[in-house]
Amino acid sequence: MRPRSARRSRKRTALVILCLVLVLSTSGCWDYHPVTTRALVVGMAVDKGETGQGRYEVTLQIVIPQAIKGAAGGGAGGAAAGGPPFYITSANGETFLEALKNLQTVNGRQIFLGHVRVVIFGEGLAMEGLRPIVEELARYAELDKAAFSMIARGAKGKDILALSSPPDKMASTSLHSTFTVADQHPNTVRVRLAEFYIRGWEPGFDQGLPTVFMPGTTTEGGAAATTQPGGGGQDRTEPVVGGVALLNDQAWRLVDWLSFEETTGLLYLLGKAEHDSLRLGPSESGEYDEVLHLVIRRKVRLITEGGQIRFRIDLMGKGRIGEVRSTTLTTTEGDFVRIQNEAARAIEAQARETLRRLQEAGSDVLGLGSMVLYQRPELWEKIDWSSLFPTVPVEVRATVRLKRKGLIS
Amino acid sequence: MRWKKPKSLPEPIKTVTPRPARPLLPGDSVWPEKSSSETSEELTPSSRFGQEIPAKLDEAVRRLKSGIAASSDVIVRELVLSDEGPRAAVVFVDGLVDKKRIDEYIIGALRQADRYGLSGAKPGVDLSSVTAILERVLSVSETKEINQFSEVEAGVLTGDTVLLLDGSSTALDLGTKGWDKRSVSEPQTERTIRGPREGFVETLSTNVALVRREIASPDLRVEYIKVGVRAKRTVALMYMKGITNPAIVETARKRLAAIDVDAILSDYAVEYYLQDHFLTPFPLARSTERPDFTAREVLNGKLAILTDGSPFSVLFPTVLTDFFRTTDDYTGSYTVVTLTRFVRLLANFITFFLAPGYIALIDVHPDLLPTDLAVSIAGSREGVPFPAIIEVFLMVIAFEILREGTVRLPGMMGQTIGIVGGLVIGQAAVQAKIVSDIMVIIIALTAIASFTNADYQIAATWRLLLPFLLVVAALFGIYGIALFALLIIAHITSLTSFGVPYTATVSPVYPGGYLDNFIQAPLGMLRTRLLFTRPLDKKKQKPYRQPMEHPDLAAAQKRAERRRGDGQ
Repeated sequence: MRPRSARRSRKRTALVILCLVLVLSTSGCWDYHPVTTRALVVGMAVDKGETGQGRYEVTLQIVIPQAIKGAAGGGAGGAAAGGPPFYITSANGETFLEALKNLQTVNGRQIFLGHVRVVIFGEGLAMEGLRPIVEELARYAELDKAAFSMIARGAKGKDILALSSPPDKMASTSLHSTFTVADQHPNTVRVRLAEFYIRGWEPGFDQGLPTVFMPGTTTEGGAAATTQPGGGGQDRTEPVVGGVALLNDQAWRLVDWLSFEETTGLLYLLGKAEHDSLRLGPSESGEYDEVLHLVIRRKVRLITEGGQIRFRIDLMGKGRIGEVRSTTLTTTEGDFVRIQNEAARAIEAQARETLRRLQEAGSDVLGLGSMVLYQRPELWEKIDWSSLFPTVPVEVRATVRLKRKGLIS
Repeated sequence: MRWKKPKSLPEPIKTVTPRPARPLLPGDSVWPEKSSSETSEELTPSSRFGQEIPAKLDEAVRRLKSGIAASSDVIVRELVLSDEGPRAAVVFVDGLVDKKRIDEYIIGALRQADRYGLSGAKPGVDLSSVTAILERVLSVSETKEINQFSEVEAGVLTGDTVLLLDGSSTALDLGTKGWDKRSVSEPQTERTIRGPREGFVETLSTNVALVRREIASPDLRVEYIKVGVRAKRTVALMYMKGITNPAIVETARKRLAAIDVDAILSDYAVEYYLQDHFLTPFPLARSTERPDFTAREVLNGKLAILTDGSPFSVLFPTVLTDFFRTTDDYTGSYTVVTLTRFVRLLANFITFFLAPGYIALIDVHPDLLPTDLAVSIAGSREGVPFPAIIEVFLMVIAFEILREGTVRLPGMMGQTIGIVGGLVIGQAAVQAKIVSDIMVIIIALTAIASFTNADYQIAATWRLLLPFLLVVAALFGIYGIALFALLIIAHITSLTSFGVPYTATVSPVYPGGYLDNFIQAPLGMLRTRLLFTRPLDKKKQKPYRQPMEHPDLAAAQKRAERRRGDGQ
């Protein structure tokens, strides 16, 4: 009786110790990294390294907390007050980790990537293909995968991070907020790093990344207007976001850019146009008769007939009249039908134009290939999608329905 | 580790304390009786004597003088009742009795009886008979015949007057209690907005009366039990016959009878000896200064224990959710009460988890903070020389010192503490960069939140456990907080109070239990008593239907006017 219970109690003790070891060893003081001993990185840029200095040039935008507090509280800022509340630091490396290691040697504090808001890839690097670097980023556990990824057009990512806009904002936080203030950015798509990585691996899907410009380097989308004298803050130094960079290929290489107009078409095709403002009327003279505010949804159908693949995309616009300039508009049903038809034609035209550009670039941002894969897997085995996509017939039809036509407020 | 008995030492002599075979009764001496040869006068408690009162007065007085009357405040007044009649002695403690009553209604009454008896103007009273004196002479309402010497001492020491009569071994214990006492006033620790302003005082009879005023029912039972060996202290059990589970009362009686200490000097001592577990930091009984709350809980099926000399009643059995209920919860609309209960729960949560959560977030998981907050915290901590965990300990220690200091501080110096504490610990520490301003906010919120409960004991428990949780949070982060919380939950589930699981009303669930713990249902829906007390009568009200529609005042007015018009 006694030896048995002793054995049992020994077993019990061993079990308790084992549990404690297992439970307590999963964390411990080695996880102790106070926020004050870390360099909080809010933005990161990866550019193509200078020749001979490594493949990547990694740039970090690091917050200076005192400066932010000083600016907010006033007075107590001390020496840091006045300057921008961040600093930029760059290093080269053959791999991302190597570059990070080099950055660490010139930084007193431990670099902490848990708060990275944006990751900007340089145009040069994107031309060579982003897969290796995204692969490395995705596997770096500390990096916040919810960061927005984008490509700098005509500039290095480093230059964009160095911008300091007037209201004491950092380029990365202002870029981050352009994507988070609304569900849908009006001029481009929104891609988080995790989506970028996961989508990139999905067969029959190509990536389209948002484009970011240095201020003053684009006149699209009214961006230039604000930099002109008299247009309000002429010293505007915020980066401009708009347009889409098209990637294709296994290496996720940059192949083409979509302009702001074409991006609108892409948003139609993706069914993500939330508050689209559509102008109707004689386009040659630049005059217009009506402005419609539309929400556009889409429906894509895969049609296979005798081994032939084609798609039909139905765009459904719903919305209201935003502005009327024409003096001939009446409230008869016929006029509304005319406007609805005109709008549908305009949407179709824009969508077709964008589709043409996508097919030219061979970048299946719409994920049409993945539809074939999931709906007709046996067909997918037989085809070579990347060669088929540029010629696959896609029919685009649009319908528009106006609601609350008489409502003015 | 096991202690090994050294072989060289002799076997310890086993001393078995003989216990009485019958259950202990109040007044029983629990000290082992020793033979008179080894009795040392100084070492034995005086109340050990279990002898009868000697019939000879001289002998009784002699023994008193060597006993309690050796103290200067015990007065033995000897009287001669009549020329031929017996002598008598009145024994009382100066300061515990109302001397005017002794003079007028005991000594005065005896004198008067003596005078009439001598003159023969009235049929005399036989002053040698205790019964006759009791029945015909004394004008005292509270009387008792006693014949044990220990009863004489006990009576005298609790403020009664004992009348000893020569030639009789029966004495009279006369209720003449009358000492200076605090008047009934508003409870200091449990204020209410709409509740009564009465609080318990230090006199047991007053306290019992206060509860009885709340429950004017013949079913309210009060049992006085004397506890303590050297000094006896009266403890009152209050319960409802036909409601309170008899096992609760029986347990209390047995546990009280088994208390074997010199003296019970506080209500907490009673609570301590009556609770099921001794080592837990959690309070296993709710104590309250309010007669109305006591009455409410007694009606709910609980047992209230009042200790003489203490302005608190102790309620058994108590479960964890009882600590979040107050009198004010029953003096307002259920909507507001539910909201305030939530606030109170939130405050308890803040007391325990806010500071550790902050530590865990900034020290172990800075990636979980929103970026702006992380930057702001980093900015405020910039220049602070200590790690956050040391900083929080500094602040917690400072707060505890401040709190303890304020409790002991004479009232008129309260301002000083406010200024010194607020300025030095708040502003100066931040300006000197000893602590960050966010930490001051955290600790201030924790401190204020810990005072939202009606019973301070539970918040004290949180405060006690807080340092451990802080260390765990700094080392293991949120994972550590979760582990520690699990540990506490495991501990709480193992606790019982008079056999009732400490987590009752949450687990196990009782019908209607949820209606009065985290939320409060409208009063009309609180139909059952607290069922975890297993009351003999479960329902405390029937569904209430209003007997009439909402009155139509205008119609009534019109009717009355018409009638008056008819009359004129």
